[in-house]
Amino acid sequence: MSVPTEHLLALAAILFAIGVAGFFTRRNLIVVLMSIELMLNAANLTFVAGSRLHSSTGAVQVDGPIFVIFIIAVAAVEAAVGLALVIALYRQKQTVSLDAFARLED
Amino acid sequence: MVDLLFYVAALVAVLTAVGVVLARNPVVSVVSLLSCFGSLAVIYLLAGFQFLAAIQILVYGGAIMVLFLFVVMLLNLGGLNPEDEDRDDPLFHDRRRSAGGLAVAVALGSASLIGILRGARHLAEPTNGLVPPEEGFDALPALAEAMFTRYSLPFEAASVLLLATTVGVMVLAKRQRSIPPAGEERS
Amino acid sequence: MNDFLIILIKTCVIYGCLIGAAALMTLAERKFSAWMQLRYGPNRVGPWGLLQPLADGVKFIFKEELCPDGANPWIFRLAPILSAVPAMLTVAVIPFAGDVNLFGVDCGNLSITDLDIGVLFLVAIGGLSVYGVILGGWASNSKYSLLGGLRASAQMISYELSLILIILCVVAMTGSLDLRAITEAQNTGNPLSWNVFSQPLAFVIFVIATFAETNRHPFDFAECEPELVAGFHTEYSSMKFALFFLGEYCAMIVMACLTTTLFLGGYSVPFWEDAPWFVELGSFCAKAGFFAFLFIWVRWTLPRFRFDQLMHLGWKVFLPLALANLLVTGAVISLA
Repeated sequence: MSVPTEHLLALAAILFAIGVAGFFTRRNLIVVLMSIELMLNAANLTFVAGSRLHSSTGAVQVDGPIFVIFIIAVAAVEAAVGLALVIALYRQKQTVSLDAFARLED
Repeated sequence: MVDLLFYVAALVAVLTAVGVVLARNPVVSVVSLLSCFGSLAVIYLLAGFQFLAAIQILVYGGAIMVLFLFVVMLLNLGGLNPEDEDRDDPLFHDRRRSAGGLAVAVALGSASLIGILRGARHLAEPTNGLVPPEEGFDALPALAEAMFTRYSLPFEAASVLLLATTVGVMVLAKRQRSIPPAGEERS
Repeated sequence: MNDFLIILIKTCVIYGCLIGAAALMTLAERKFSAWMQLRYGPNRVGPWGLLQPLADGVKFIFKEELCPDGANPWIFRLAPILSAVPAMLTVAVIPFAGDVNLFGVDCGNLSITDLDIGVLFLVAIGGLSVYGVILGGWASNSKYSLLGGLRASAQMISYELSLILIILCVVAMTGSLDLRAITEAQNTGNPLSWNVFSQPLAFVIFVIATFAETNRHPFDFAECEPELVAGFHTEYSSMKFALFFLGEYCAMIVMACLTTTLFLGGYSVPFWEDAPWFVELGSFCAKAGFFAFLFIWVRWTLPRFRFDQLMHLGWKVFLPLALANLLVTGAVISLA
């Protein structure tokens, strides 16, 4: 594939922006979590693009892929904790709308 | 040919990502996000990262999105019942906040896009012609060696993080004796 | 061009055989169950009922397609495809035999492709088949389907962990994720070098976990007819149901092939290291056929577990055992 690096980066930027839009506008907690996953994936794509740019056939640049693997691990952790929280919150209020959890004291 | 495939995959990724944000039904969001991750895996594969593509499908497709779907179904948020919440337009329910969020997203996106496109000529000249070697850019031996030597501390930190998460999630989810979340131990 | 043609032919032959085997397995299921219960089983269509799968296929095509009221029509249609396609894709990396030489033409190894990360591909794509079950269960807008889908998702995630850990043991022993390399490492002419003898515990866990992973008896809680009518496919009819069926049987066949490859030396023939490819293929089919038969055998022999027993088994027995097995394997490898 000879797609220039900036096109991969542009795709990552677009995906990240969509994730931000979802994060700020949606009220459904689960969709908000999914938007975060989307943003993390956009970050992964930038690492992939950079690693592809700086690798040469003799010396493979492994830092990019390794960072992607760590990010995926963190994303899995975030999803697990986030969804457990969603379930705990749902038990209290029978809803997953962010509006219901705007106040700390209850 | 391969380049064209990249643009198709990129288009699918963007469209499905928009679908995640716009869908009223969380299940549709999950399916949409799944397709988005699938097309990202295709892009990784095209770019010469076979291992990452497999990991992407394995972890996101096989585990994380199943977890999302499981929770949506467990809490019955599928939106098949009419008194569900995001029934009205999900984006513009609260106009003020939505406008703010969209403005932030558009500003961020356009700023980074402009930056990327303007800075493109300053990018390092690819010495490899962007053509991946036979075993891909993420050849497993090199990856594994770096992972367990230079990155051994982050690796251990990640394992501790995963362990802590397992315990934490169990504590969070087990407060009452009722249905546990997916993938967690059932008492 | 010639290479392309060879790959095309190999792909067509392997997929034809897979679908044919899946069809035959539905017949075998009914025949063996009849045999175990002292019945006759299907014997009207063709000799010994051999054409029964064909008749079933025709029947499925002509049945009425139903889409329940209130169901999400797109996801309802998507689910059977998502169930069948991943199960069929995974067969692409299974090595069926060594180098094939047909009429003087060297056709390469008998597998669609030999990926460097074959095992990972198989696990990753195979893991996607859970979506067919979950989405089908959800989209049907029926409580039985929903329960079936929920159970299937919990069960398949839980057992995938043990499955992957066990596969890691074998991978660590071979040092490769390539299924052909794993087979070749066991292909020494001596059956004692098969992984089943060095990893007996892993073998037992793996075989049991494949039953849970394919939603088969005694772990078929996604369907579980006494409790859930027919589980996730209660509302499905016609070819959509047939696709679920096809996916289930293809998944079983792939799992049988995978067990053979990982633990029984794949296509290696006992005491004959350089066997010609058709002997190797016969050896592979015999071993994989046994595991396919095991799926049927167990189904008509054992009673069904309870769902909490299944979860208990997966998380409190298999997962620690698999982890311990991996630990011991790693220790032995690093000491040896």
